[in-house]
Amino acid sequence: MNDIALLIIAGLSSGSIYGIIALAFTLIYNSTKIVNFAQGSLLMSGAMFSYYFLEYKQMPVVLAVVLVIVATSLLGLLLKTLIVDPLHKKKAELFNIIIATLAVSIVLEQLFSIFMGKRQFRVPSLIEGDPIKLGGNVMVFPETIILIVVTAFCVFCFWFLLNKTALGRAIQAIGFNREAAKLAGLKTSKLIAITFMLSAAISGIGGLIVSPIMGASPYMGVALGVKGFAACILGGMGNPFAGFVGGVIIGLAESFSSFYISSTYSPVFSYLILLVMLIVKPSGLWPEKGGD
Amino acid sequence: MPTKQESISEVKPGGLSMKKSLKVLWLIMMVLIISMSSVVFSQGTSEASTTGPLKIGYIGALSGNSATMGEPARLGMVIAFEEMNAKGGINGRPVELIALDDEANPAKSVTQANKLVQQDKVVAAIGGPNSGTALANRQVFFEANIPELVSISTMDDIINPDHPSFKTTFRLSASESYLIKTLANHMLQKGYKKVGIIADTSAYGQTATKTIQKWFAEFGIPISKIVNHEVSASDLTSQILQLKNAGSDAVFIYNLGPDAALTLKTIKQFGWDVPVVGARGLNMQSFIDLAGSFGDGIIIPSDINMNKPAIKEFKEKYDAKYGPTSNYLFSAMGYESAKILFEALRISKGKGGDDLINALEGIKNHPTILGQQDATITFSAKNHEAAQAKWNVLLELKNGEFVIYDEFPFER
Repeated sequence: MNDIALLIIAGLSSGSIYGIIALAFTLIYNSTKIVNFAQGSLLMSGAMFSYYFLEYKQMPVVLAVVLVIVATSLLGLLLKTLIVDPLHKKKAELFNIIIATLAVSIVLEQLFSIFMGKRQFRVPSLIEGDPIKLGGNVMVFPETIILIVVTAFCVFCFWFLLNKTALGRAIQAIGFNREAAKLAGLKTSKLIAITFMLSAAISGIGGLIVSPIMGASPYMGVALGVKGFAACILGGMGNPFAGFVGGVIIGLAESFSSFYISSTYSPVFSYLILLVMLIVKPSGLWPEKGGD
Repeated sequence: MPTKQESISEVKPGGLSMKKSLKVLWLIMMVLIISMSSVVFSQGTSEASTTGPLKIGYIGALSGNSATMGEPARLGMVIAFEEMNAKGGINGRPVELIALDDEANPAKSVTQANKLVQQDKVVAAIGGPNSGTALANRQVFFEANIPELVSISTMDDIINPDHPSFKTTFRLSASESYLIKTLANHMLQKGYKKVGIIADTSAYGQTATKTIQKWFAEFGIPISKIVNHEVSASDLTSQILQLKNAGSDAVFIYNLGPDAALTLKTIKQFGWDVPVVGARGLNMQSFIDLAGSFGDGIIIPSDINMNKPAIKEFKEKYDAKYGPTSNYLFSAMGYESAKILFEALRISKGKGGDDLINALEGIKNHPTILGQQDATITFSAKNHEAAQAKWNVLLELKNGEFVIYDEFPFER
């Protein structure tokens, strides 16, 4: 019984990491149809900023959290104004913009490795302490609880934002049909800038809560981005919950298959689920609603 | 609103027209063809020059995660090269280091090895921290008859007497088998009866697992369970749970940096009080930082003994040039690689090829900054491994610092 509880927590914890990246993917995709392959690297940026402010500069937690989120949001804004906008102006194909985001991810990786060092850094947990007893022999570190709770909270907030606020509806409207949204008087460029900043901010939060568990390194982004993208594909791009649920399914599949079947081949099982999903229901569990 | 079809055929104002992009494509193809043919046609024209500086190449990871080993090694080499040039060089010729980054990528490593051979015409080469790259680039140096001294990577197969490349490949570092045997001896002495093993699924972890199984069988140490995980794991609950449920009385971890830290943290999370031993690769500040207090008590082997006067002397030189650091293992290995090649070049009077290979094989009881207090280096026609005996020491992590646990571990 204890074993199963521990495996569920492990699955939720890994799943939250994939889920928070998936959430960031979903936001940009829903307003622009761009699959932002720099998403993993934005999370890496968040992790590196977390190291810089929390560990290197030893700032108070609240101030550091704010600075990390602001810094990654600015990166998101830069991505939009320096890369996406000029490409849009030149009427570049969507495909080209997506490839450009891949290039951005490489540039970010190199910039951080040049300016902060080619190594892995320790990042303290936002709340440090001994493992907390959840009953029986089930002990969990505070950072794991923070990871799961904060991710779930972010998912809820973005669901609320997208579905219950005017801003969210406007963002979705742009995704459905940008020209029509423009004609309806929406400031599309500004709104897209907001989605890029929000998505990057989510990555910043991701960096803050993932790095106490996995450490921070300039090279951590790509692998995480792939897992987050897999979570997106599994869940579907339809709403903020989709990627999170996709991530948790992958996380649980990994922890249970690793325990009961084979720890060597557990990644195979999670990708097998993905493959079956692509064959049976390629649009994911929660497909995006129609657009142009 | 324009359809997809329209926007494809449209000539973009700021972009390239169809004709122009065809031209660009042709240009790229021509460059590719020329660069490929230069590799093919220039084989065999790799005579090192007999005047000017003696060039020695270094191929290692200078970016990516393995740069934590590859870059310090380069820093160590730079010290050795500066010292040699201050002394007037070898046979009146200065020495020059050409360090190239292979990003721990075997394909890139082959390209860089070709560059060192064809373009830079190096007389000798130093191999870096990754086994996959060493396995790939040794062939290039073998074909050019240029000796390569592998500085850090440990995989047994790199020095394989049955492989043709044996002729030109030498190694300074202790091999994986040597390092694992040192730990196996330690575990035998401790009387562990059920050793659990956790390794990552990379070539690093997987070849080591096979080597561990081989030597543990030979030494008669029972293995309780072997579990694996992906590199950069986000959770290791399932793996540690399996080792614990198997009743392990010790754990052998064969992973790096954040993964090793997460392993130790998960063990603590379960409140599991179990002795842990690990691989040499954990001797890095990043691991010490990441593991924090969870790392206390872990035992690892090392190729340097900081109590040895020669390594203390190296530490002073390093500190004077770069400032103090927490770990001198990889920089010392880089430094010593260069020194051994200099010694061989001194014997061969600056000549490369067979002369240099013979000179290396003639090195006997040569003092070294590496290894135990009285370790020396001896190569021969049959032995291309520097680490033969009296080499490894055991370290223990205590309060965020690796300290000597055993200066003279029992060897068999």
